[in-house]
Amino acid sequence: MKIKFERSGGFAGITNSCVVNSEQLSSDEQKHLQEFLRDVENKKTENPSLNSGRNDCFQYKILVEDGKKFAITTDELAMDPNLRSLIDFLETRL
Amino acid sequence: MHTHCFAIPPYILEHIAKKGTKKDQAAALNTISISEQTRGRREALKHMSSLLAVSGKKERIIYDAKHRRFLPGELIMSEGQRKAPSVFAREAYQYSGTTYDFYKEIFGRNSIDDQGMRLDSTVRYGYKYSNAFWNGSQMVYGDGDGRIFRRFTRAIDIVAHELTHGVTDFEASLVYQDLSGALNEHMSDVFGSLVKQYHKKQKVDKADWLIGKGMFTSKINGDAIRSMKAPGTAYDDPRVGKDPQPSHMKDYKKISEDNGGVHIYSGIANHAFYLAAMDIGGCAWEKIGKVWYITLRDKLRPTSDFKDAAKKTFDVAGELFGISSTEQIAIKRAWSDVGVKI
Repeated sequence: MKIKFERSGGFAGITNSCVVNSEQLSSDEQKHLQEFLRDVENKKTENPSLNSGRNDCFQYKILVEDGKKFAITTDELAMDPNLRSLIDFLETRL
Repeated sequence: MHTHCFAIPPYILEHIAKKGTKKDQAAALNTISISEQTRGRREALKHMSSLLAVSGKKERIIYDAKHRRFLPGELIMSEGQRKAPSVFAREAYQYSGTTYDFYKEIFGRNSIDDQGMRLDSTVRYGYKYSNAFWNGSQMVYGDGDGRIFRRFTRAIDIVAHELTHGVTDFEASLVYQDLSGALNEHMSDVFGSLVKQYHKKQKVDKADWLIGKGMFTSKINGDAIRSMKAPGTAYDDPRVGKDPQPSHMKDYKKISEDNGGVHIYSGIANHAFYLAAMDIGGCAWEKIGKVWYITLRDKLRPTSDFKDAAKKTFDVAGELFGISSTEQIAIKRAWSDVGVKI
């Protein structure tokens, strides 16, 4: 499974991105990824609304390619707990 | 998608926000703020304003997140405290105070909401967190990673930038996406720069017109995060790339990252402000700063773009200094020079 990750925004507005293979994830991170994908499939997740007091927050885009494609955009204040540790991991790869 | 569960009923949170200890008040207000993010923000802010309003005097509170991501964190400094517990607290306290003084003395504005709202800041947010932001009710600063970025409290214009996001929330409430978002960022850079110039008592020709000067470590080839004088030249380094800000509308295109490039295309309006300020001369906060402030406070709307801002700043300059005054002509010329026709 391939994960494309992009972080943009923040005060500096610098965009960084990376591509990570799911085999590189720890078992915990793989578990969080699976939970995240399940939530996406069950439509429990949605993109954050705009203009809700998130000025200068980081914006994240995650694209997961596993036969099917899942994509989500979120920011650090709107983030699902299942995503936090996954994003923490992905940020170390930037 | 949301992170937080709101098990406490709103009326209890509001009671705590009114009657609780300072620490409990802050926690309750933060919870109200986050929960209101999924509802009408502007209405929520107006509602919270009455809870946040104090005696109308400057009141600052500094919290320490101790490298965690929970807000507001532990209370470490209050108004009037003479000794700061850390350099982070001292900078956040002093610079938010200078920003408060600037708005009060220059524009007669009483804090973020113009009703004496307390200025809350959290320092040491997150681990090696290279960012600062306004979350709708307070300012938040990371330490930086020490590899690329230094601590985000060290630059007065960053503190003023974040506080101005609060002012914008209470006034024009510019939507944080595409050109209205870039205008939102532009306003924060303008007043960030003006607070720095006011703090240093600089006239336009002595100002550096840089935003976040010295924020990069010595390992990075960069003077600052942005340049209003020469957008696109603030940094150029393999580890962070090249400053992407354009200075002309011909380089604008719709993009998806950074909420539609709010930190990128703000460079166009920033440059217009710089050109007009240089043309008018003197202390920038006295004339053009006043034009921009009145425009932000009274004229712009949530979906306003650069063209709207150009027209409104032109109109306000006419009202303040006269039709075809040198100030009004300078503003029209500056917007035209960056590709925004009035």
